[in-house]
Amino acid sequence: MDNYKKLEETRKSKLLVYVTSDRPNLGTQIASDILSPFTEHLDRIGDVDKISLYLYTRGGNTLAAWTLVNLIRNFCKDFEVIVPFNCHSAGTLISLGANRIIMTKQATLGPIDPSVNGPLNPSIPGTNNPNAKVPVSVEFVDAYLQMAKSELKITDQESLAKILIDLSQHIHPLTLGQVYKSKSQIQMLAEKLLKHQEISSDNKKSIVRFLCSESGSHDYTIHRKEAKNLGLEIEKPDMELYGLIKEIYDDIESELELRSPFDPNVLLGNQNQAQYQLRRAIIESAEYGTDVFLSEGSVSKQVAQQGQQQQTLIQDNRTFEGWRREDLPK
Amino acid sequence: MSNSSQTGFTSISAKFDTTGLENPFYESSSKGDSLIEQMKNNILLVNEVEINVRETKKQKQEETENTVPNKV
Repeated sequence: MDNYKKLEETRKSKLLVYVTSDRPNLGTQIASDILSPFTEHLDRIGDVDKISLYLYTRGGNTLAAWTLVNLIRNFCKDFEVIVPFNCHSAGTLISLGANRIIMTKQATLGPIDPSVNGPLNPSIPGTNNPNAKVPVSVEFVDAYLQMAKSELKITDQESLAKILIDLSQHIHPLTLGQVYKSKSQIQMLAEKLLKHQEISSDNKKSIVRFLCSESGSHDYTIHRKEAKNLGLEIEKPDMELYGLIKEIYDDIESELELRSPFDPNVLLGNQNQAQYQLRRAIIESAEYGTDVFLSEGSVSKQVAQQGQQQQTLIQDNRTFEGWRREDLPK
Repeated sequence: MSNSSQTGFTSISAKFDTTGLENPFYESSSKGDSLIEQMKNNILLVNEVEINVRETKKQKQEETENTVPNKV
């Protein structure tokens, strides 16, 4: 927490830290269950002039991101986002709602084109898991229809109707409807969020266009220079500020084990049973300490013989999953 | 697709995760397609090269859940 206080002094603001782990096999996302712990932190902070949000995430729910920005803005006049490293998708959406974005050299933003996820999505071919679904990218559906019209020059209504019917045999019509709605919603949200940055109306539209579709695939990364060239309000940290941002990141990376893939086999090792407590996301402030998203439980190993084949079975018994409060700062 | 009939083992200890049924508007920070989410109260078959999740009651229950909100 010492570094948090130093950062608050440097930025003359109150600091909130929000990290969703992207540790391999332990994916965590921005979701609506953060709003309650965030409210607790903000209530302790109270109404202040400025809040800095230290944000590391690969994304998540668009409406949770939208709600979080509006919640924070209710507690401050000036809101800034500090990006130490990855701040993609819904994280980028949150950043658009800030007055400025502080980006390190290694910081990246990403496109905000949404994917639709749900039980009506197409299943992944060749998988044993019926719940494994293909996320339907809004922009990819649009690109498919654009390709038919622009590249293949298919313009007559009958042929276009056939293309749509064919598409609806692969993607459920309700999912396609959701795709259409999501596309207009994300543009509306992004434009509204950008109102706190000093950007002309035309430039706002071109930023939104770039982030929603022109940047190509969803894994495209936008570094500091490109973000600035786009017209976003970007601040480069000086060496002192960078040092603080980096120290905080290094602590979090170590705490959440971001570099080490989660593997239940490794967890068990030579034992037949092992307990686990996995830290997957954190919300922290100097005022109110730590809220952590945890998965707790145990795994046990059994070896089963099936004919000539020996198979290892790992049984998971999850005893807790959710947000839990930890220590208050002394 | 169930692996139960192929292996002769059933996941009798599988538990329902009723969170989604009790509150369809609740959304967890746990990412749905991650291994940690797939293995929740399930049995994993560990092969030499891959890990598959066996079908359990939990998966059947998940099929009935509402569409989750959009992700970016």
